[in-house]
Amino acid sequence: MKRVLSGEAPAQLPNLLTEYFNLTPDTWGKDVHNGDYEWLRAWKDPARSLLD
Amino acid sequence: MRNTWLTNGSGETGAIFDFDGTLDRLLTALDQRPYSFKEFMEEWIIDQFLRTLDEFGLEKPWYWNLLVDELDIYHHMIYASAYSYRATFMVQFCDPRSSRRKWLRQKYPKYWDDMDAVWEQISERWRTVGPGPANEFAVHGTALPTFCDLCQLPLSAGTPRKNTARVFVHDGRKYIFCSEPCQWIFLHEPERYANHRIS
Repeated sequence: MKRVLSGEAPAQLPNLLTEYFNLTPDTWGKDVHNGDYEWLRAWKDPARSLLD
Repeated sequence: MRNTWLTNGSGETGAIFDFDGTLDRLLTALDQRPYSFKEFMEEWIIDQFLRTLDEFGLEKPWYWNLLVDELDIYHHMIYASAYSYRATFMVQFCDPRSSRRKWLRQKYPKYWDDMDAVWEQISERWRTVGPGPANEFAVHGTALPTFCDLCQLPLSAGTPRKNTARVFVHDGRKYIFCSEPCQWIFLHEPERYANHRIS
């Protein structure tokens, strides 16, 4: 936190992870479906049966 | 992942971890999930703890009702928090809805509507930016998460409608706690906890 407050480290979490800690997508946790969910594809379906 | 403040009244804190409740129950396939985390806790932890208190003639701690109430919500809050900061974990996450939605509403009727609204917002964000690994950070927390100065877990107590975090000043320094019980534990032994640092 001291390094963030001093400006040494970025305050935005994505920047902190990628630019300061040099983490990559291979190392961090992800949405296993990358947001590709069936109910999102059916979002505009008037029935929205997957949401019931 | 979560201590549940099972103290014995003298300030000693027992830790019961609900990493199981946070990840296993939410991510285990429905047909392989015999009962909810809440049901597990009620049968194997709460009932047993009450029998032990009775056996030794002890009263329930003052925060007992808070603890029991959290069985309905805390592990859902901490999971939503972990999902929102998933890049800081080496764990794969998923939206716990889909086929689980009806099950979660059935097992956790008290707060599921509030939690469901949180996931609706996450879903709405995915819908807006579109799926794909390139959009992970568009559906992710950007501010640095804040941790409780006692249990050192993210400030995820309470409900989506009622944040229970509280700030307390001790010896000129501000501390933040996720809940009243965490502050209470701190105040019993401030010299023990005052210099803890979030690792």
